[in-house]
Amino acid sequence: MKILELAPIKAYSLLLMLLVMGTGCATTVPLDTARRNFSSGQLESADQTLATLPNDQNKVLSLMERGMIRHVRHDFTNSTADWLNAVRIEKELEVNSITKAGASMVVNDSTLAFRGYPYEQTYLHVYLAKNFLAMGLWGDAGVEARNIALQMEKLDGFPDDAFSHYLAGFCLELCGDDSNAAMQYRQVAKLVPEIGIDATTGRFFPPNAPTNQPVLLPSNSTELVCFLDFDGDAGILPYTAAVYADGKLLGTSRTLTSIYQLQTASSERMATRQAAKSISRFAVKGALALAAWSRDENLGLLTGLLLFALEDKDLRRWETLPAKLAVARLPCPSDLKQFEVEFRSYSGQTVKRITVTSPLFRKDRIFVSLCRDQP
Amino acid sequence: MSQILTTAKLSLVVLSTLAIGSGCSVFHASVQNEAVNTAAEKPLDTGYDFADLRSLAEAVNTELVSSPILEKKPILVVMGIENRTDEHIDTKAITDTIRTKLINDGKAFFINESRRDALMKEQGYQLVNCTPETQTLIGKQLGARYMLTGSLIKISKETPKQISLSRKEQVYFQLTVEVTDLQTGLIAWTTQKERVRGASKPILGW
Repeated sequence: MKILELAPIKAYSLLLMLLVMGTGCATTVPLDTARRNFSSGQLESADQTLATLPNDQNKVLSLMERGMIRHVRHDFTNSTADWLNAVRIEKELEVNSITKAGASMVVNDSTLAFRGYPYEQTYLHVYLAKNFLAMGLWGDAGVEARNIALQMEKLDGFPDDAFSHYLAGFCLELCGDDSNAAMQYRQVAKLVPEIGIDATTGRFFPPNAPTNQPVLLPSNSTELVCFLDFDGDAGILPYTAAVYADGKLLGTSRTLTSIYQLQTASSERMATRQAAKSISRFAVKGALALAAWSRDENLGLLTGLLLFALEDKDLRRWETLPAKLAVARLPCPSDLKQFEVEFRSYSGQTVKRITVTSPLFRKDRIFVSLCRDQP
Repeated sequence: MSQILTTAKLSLVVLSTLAIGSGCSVFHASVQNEAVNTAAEKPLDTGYDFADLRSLAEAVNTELVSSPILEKKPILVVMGIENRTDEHIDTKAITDTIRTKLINDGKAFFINESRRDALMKEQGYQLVNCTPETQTLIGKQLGARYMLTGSLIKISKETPKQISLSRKEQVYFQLTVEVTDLQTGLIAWTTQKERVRGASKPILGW
């Protein structure tokens, strides 16, 4: 008799376990390991850890992280392939999966396929544009600039950010689309007026210079545009970067965006929606536990314990993005082959000094480069 | 509970039998043996595809072939079609298609602009390493009279956020091709070709 009474409990427990497993609980151990390796400067290990990506709900996130690891390793071709793949998969996720949505109401939001906040989706295109700039593919960088502009039109209350606009504007400027470039630069001027950007040319006003006239360069001169990622080494986050060529100071960078601020503002925007969903999920879990309890008290207790133990906040985010993004747009020698970047703290102390020889491409009068203060 | 399990088991058996018996394509891959008719194939989405490449290039060719600038079989150089869309489109394929048709129909000569560096490298090599009888002569390249350029733009619209089971999208492509007289700088010939496609995307899936 006792065995027969246990049969429905076993069946129910099995069903519950299958439900939990079937929602595709993904392990994030490889991702966490890769991120740790990335933060400590072991880029090759980080890349190898993510050599094979599982086909689960974290596919987009894994591609984002691996793409960044390869970007910092200057493996721009494979990094671009990863990010284009992430864009494609993210687009397919616009179709809401009924099964995944149902599972998230019983388990937690980590069962849903990761799509990222709007700023993370935008930064896929931002970094694709950077990759194309690093490979001298100006036309493709222009394509990504238009994608960035499209993303920025669909923010729907999520935070805007100056760096994305600046990069889009610069890529369009390189493609000869000056009017749309100026539109992006105007957005930058609106978002960070203290930075002092000339919206007509995309250059920065020198200190104490009048801001009612465009910043023009002499006809034979060249300029260097270097996009800088501030990550922080040994716990010190750079405040600015000074750029030198042939031992001479060319100028300093302007910080346009803090990823931390974007993340915080995005979380706040989602907070109400997430709170409402959590309340609904508690109700569903409570109802399931009650239904089981009505058949058998022990089963109800087990069900309730299991379901509420699975309750967890979805903290997934693109962690290999830098802390801050800056740009240095400065006059430079016309025969520039390399330059030095000195990352400085708020007090002016030198945090790190890097010599940049690549990527360094020239289009007409502009040298384009990228740099990150990676450990 | 046992009734639910029995019903579930029965449904699973029936569904499996139907699926296997019907040769349902969900469960096996298939390959078409006959050549794909690019004109007849239905597009899978609103994105730029091979049918667009064919139709746009053919439309441009049909007009260009009957234009007066090709009467004397001139020499042209292709300087590229600018991609002003938000898709990574190989616009060189459009000009390659146009160029191939014109050359094969004997309507124009084309300078091999993209191979200039390789050409000069080979000529330099021959000058140093090859016998005078077999060397190609330097400074005998022909100059182009006309330059072929263009641009491809895209405008897309989507239905705004609303309560609906699907979302509609419309995408418009416009290809502009121009032939410029390298002597006068004037546009000697130009044309525009368009393509519009609409699609309905579901917002719910399995």
